[in-house]
Amino acid sequence: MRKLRATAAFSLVEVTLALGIAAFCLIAVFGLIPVGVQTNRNANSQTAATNIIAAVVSDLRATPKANTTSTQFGISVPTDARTGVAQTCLPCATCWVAQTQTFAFDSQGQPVIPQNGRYRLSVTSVANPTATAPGGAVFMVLKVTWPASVDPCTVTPSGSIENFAMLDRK
Amino acid sequence: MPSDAITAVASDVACGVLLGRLRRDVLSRLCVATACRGKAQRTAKRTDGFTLAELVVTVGVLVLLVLLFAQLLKSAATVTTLGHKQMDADAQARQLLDRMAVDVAQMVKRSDVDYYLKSSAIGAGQRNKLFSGNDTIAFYSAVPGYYPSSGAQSPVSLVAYRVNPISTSARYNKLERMGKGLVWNAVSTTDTPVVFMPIPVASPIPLVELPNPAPNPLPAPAWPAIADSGSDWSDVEGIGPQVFRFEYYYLLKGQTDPTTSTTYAPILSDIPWDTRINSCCATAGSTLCCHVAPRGMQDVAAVVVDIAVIDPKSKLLLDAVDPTGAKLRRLNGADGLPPVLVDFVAGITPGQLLAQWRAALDANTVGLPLPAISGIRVYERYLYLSPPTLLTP
Repeated sequence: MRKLRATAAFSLVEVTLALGIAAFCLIAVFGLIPVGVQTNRNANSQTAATNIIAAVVSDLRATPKANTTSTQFGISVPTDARTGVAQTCLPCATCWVAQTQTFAFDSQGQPVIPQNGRYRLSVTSVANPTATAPGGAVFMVLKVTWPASVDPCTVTPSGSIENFAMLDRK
Repeated sequence: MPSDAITAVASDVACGVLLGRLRRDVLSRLCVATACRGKAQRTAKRTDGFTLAELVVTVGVLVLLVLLFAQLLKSAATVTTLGHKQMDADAQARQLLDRMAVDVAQMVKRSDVDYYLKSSAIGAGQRNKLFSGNDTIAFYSAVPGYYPSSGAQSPVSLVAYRVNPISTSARYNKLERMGKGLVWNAVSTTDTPVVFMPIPVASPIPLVELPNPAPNPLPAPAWPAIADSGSDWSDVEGIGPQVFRFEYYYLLKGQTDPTTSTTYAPILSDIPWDTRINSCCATAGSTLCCHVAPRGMQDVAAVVVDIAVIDPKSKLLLDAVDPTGAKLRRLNGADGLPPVLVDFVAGITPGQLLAQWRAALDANTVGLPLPAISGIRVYERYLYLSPPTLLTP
């Protein structure tokens, strides 16, 4: 009689096995949460970075030709299309870094001091190879990376967006 | 072997509270199977199942774990929701500002066409057009629009933006864009084509800007509905359903006065022409540098647009505490009082208006629910104007 009742219940081994499988599944499911959150954050960052680049390009385009700095973000813009790094200079080489301006933006896409930044904008002007006079299109390479504390030339950032802009300022 | 098994099971179940009880339980169960049958018989009742106390403790631990995981899920959901809110607002702002950038870049910049623009100019005969709260802008742009079903389509549309001020409209307090495709002049008897000066777009032109002698009767605006806050617009689309505040001003070029050679730096202004260059006004017949009208927008380098966007989830939160929309109207000034998200005033520096808006939202004098504040985002974009090519003197 007692034996019958004992077999009707789950044995400890069965329960342990069941718990083990359940734990394995749960761990797999919960392990996906950080991945999902990270992907979501990346998507947000990419949207924000695209917005920053769009705003910066608009600002650069809106800078009158006589101005040396843009109005909204204070980015130096060469008045001579021939100034900037040579075409042969590779990104992050010494010649490139020397001509790169760096700015920080917060999560709202507004310019802030570097310590408070979430996104780092690197602006490099590239010499227009076909320009023979100061006039002509100014070439600029814009790169937004995040987090802002990371220098994209020394450490790989967690994400980046790059854009090339030609400014025909009048 | 039993002792080994016990150790293995015990180390598997890493739950401190239960450890002692389980070990006892395991011991008694194993005893049943092996040597100490006498002991098992003595504790026969124990082997039948778990006691209530054991179950209570087990369920308690389970509940604790579930609560922990629920917390984890909740915080993950909060982060995701906040991210989605920001993305909703960002996406809305991006498509709107990109559309505006195209419209403004393609603006028809000729001194023989009229513009409907804000201006704080108060000189004699100058059009003073200031908006408390949300602004309205209208201009010709070389972009496609909603054309009439007949007539020869011209490449020019009349483009206008405003936040709908009509409380009965489905687009009330939402940004709308008019894209009125225009037909060529003299081909249609029913549709209004591009009109040239002295026929104004929306508001009457002061006498000073009209040719002398002034036409009699004075030409009436071609599309008076644009200037009328009580009129519905035609050929319109709700381009920014989440945008409830729209403000713009101008970035004026740096210029040199041709008479005195004084150099002026670029400034932000709410007058679409440079009022600083006045020296040549004294010279008889010289109107080239002395402006009292936009004159082909020749002094304007860019139109600076500021918008405030509330994402749909935050809008629902806001609607729950504010079903009449009074708080939103207080923010954008649709109730007729000066808006909390302030208007442009002369003398502000780049980015200052946006900073003032954000400070006003953070100060929360309107009494918005806190989660809704984080869902309101503000944007500023400099929309550049390509230089005028077809200027008539």
